[in-house]
Amino acid sequence: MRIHFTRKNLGIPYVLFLLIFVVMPLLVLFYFAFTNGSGEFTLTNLTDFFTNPNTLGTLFYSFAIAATTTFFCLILAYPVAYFLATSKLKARSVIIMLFVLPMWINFSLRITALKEILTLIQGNLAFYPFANSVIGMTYDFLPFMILPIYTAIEKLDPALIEAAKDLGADDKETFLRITLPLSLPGVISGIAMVFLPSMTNYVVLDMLYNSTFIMGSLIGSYFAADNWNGGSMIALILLLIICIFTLLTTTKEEDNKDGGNLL
Amino acid sequence: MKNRHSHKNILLVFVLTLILIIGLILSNLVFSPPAFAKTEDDSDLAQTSQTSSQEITLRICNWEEYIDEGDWGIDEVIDLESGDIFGENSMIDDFEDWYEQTYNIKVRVEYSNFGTNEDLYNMLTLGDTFDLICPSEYMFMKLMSEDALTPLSPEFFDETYENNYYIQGVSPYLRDIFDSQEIEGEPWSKYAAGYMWGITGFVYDPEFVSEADASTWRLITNPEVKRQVTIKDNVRDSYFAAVGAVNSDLLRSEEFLTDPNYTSNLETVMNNTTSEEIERVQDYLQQAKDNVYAFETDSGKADMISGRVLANYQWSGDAVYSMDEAEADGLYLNFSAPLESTNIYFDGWVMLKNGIAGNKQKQHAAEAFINFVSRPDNAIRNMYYIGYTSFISGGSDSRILEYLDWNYGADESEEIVEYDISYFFTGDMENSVTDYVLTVDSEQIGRQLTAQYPSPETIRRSAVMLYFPPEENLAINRMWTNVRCYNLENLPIWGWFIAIIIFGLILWVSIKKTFDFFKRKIKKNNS
Amino acid sequence: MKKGYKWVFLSLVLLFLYLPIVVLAIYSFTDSTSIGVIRNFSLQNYINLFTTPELRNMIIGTFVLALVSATIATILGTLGAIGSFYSKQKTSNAISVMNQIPVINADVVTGFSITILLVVVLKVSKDSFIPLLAGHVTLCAPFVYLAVMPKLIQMDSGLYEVALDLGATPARALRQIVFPQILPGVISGFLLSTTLSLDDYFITTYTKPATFDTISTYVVNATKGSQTSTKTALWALATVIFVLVIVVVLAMNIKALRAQDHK
Repeated sequence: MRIHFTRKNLGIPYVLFLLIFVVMPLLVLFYFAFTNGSGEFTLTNLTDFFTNPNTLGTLFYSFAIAATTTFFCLILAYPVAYFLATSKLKARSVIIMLFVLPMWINFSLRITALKEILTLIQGNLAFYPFANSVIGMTYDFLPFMILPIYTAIEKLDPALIEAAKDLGADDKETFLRITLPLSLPGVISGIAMVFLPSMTNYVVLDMLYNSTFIMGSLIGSYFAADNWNGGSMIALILLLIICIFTLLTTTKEEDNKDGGNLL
Repeated sequence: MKNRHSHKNILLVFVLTLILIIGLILSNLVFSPPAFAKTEDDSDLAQTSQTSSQEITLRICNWEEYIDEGDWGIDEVIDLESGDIFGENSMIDDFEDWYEQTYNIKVRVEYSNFGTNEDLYNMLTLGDTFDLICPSEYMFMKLMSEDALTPLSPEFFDETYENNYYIQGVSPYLRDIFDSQEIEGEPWSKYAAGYMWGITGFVYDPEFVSEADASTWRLITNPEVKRQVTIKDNVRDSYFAAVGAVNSDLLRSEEFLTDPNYTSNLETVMNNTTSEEIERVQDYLQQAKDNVYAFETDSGKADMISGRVLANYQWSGDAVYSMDEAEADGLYLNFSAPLESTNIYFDGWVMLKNGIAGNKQKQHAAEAFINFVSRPDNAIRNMYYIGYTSFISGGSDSRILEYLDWNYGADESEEIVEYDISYFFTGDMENSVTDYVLTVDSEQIGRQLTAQYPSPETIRRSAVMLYFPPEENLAINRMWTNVRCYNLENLPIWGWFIAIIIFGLILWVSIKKTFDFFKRKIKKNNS
Repeated sequence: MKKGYKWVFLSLVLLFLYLPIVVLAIYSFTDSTSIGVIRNFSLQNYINLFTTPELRNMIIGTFVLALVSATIATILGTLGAIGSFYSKQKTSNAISVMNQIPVINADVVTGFSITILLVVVLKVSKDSFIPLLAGHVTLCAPFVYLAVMPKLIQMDSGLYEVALDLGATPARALRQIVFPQILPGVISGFLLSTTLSLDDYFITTYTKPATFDTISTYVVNATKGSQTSTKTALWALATVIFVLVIVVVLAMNIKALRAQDHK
């Protein structure tokens, strides 16, 4: 087969790569999730997960932590993004960088720093595991929430605000009926960047003395016990949740120009 | 025009894909050299297979920090009556020298480490080969059942041969255990030669935790040490503690303790893996999860010494280490082996079949290594360096006893008490021999001494934790995962309330979205 | 909303984000072993950081891994984006979907699935570094794709045809016309890849050889252990990275600000 040099064939190496390292592992996950140790098809991994109050409880606990973290990130990030995006300062892009900068410092180092401060304040971190985990997660993910909301608000056409003012709306109405709805894509993007990782980042819990498992640590423990079947099922369930979440939150991408601005 | 370019085209795509492959290989080379990996063995990089009968390579895999690495400070000389003991070089180097001097054959040791028995097993299944390894008893039981071990040679057990330090010096008490414990009809002693042993219990701060509280496994769920007690992050140790706690009333009852079959009854209770027991253990451990500071493997020692936790579930060797370190900072910690039972564990040297591979010279070198570390002065060096208790009692060599006296013997100034450890030297639990009764400072009771050399009463209530066959193991592992999970049964009413609200919200949003999606599709089809 | 309150709020959030790191930085210049007690000024932590072979190798290893993964990811992702852009809509969509999977997936699941495929099923040894590299590239390449794609869409497609008409070979046209236009996307993709790789914990933990550590895995494991000199050396590391990040980001942004002024 002659592979002509066309622009579209340049993509072949990457397609191969995706097939091997993205699609195949998924297929393997499916295989292991629906088989038992001897390779026979079985649904017990699935039913075990949903009938065991412990694994269900883990799902619930992960949701609880993720939801609380997302909530706190939102109430901290939105005002920050709003105040900065609507301010007239020229240096505001530098200031927003300051808020976003911690993203580039390794999260384990940041959590270590937070742990030291929290230990100074509380003495024994193990007394408030849930609260400390939420604080830790919020600390870790706050910059990820600030940036998309800031970008969304900043890109608003100022003419819209002016038009609203001209039509007689006060500040509050302008915010509620113009800014907030239009900034929603940014909010959703921020939520996506915070909610899902906080369901799986068990390192934050470990380092802050929370011994309860979340979805990530559950997979980890199955992995350590060489239980590939159970672990794969949990991985798939997690993936399903992620897919549902993504489906529910994507709006039609009419504006591809901004799609890739991640920095 | 097209033909000329086709050649170039193919070439270009080929080159691009080649860059990808080369990139992978190059990065492989970049990462392989030891500059980026922690070097684990003491010797230099050379051949790994035996090239001539003049030099033997011995691959040993041992626990981390489990052998004397030498380089002692000048003031650390152990001056015994029979002579001084000092760790100048690492024991591995000393072994290589000794072997060459004694047998005129060069041996080169490749020494690596493992962190847990499971890690070791994983290394073996993933293809690492060793000649001599030092697993705990349940792991070498497993290897025995899998027919993975080479038995010790008959010459190893010859007590008349002067270099057979192990068989001459091993504690009769421990030797009896190894001779009587069997798996699949074969005694442990056929394959394994003990290295270090110990018991489990709590290291605790006596200022905050009473001896009574610390003498039961139930300390783990004791609210007075809420969030200030730690347990081990591994299923076997936690299982033992939980079984002890759950059966505490039974195990401490008069009838149980005075029953003539006490020892075998105890072993049965502590090794109970029926599904009912596993459930009780799971419940107990889930309670424990809310009371402990953390499930730890290594950090417990430091947290204990710094005072962050008040009690720490420990193996006796680590307990000695913690107590020594804390003492240096002026903090006096105690050790207690719970009254329900304490887990007596053994780490022993075994030879792997696929490592030795029938090579008589390698086997000789391996067995010589076992003997070398069993020589009383070397056993003392190791004990001093790592804190654990050696299998060696010395036999006719009195140095071990002298070391105990040197380490724990009382001065005239201190309040003295008699401490009888004859069982270790004679194998006889009943009778005491005055030689083996130490005169120690009464303050040592309940501290390092009783951790390293448990009293006969402690030994009486010790139990071995056996190797569990695969299905039971699986059940226990499942239980262990469940312990750390949030049990949905604990969810309070308001939690269910919030859950239903949120679930309803998500459902509403998804229904709305699907509606919109279909509305749009219909619109599209109509236009 | 009074102006003052805005700034108070912003400063408080900024304080929350930076206080732990700054405190750690201050203590890294002392000889204290735990936060709360200041003893004396000392650079010992920094000396330890740069002279302990274990730490040095670990840092170098982390950066080499990041650069290598980012390079491979950038090449693959860029080629993939180009190929996908010039393919039929259906192919392009298929590639986008496959590409999106590692982006939305939790790191834990990605690492777990790659490990199952490579180590358990294909029995590739972790010591070959192949799983580790594959994991990191899988993590990064999709983000490169997402960074390059918008630039391709924004590109003036007519120029390529013009170049062909003027006699250039497709390869040359690609090199000299297309590539410069997408270069900003390629660069931002590369930078994003390095950041992701440097920060990653989960994929690394599941795929790394036993004796290799990155900053993330090392810090997480070190916080469990007892060595205080390592603990304080890591404070020095955190400070160094913090300063580096501030310098780089501020420099980039001030440059951008000046460029804006000149316009």
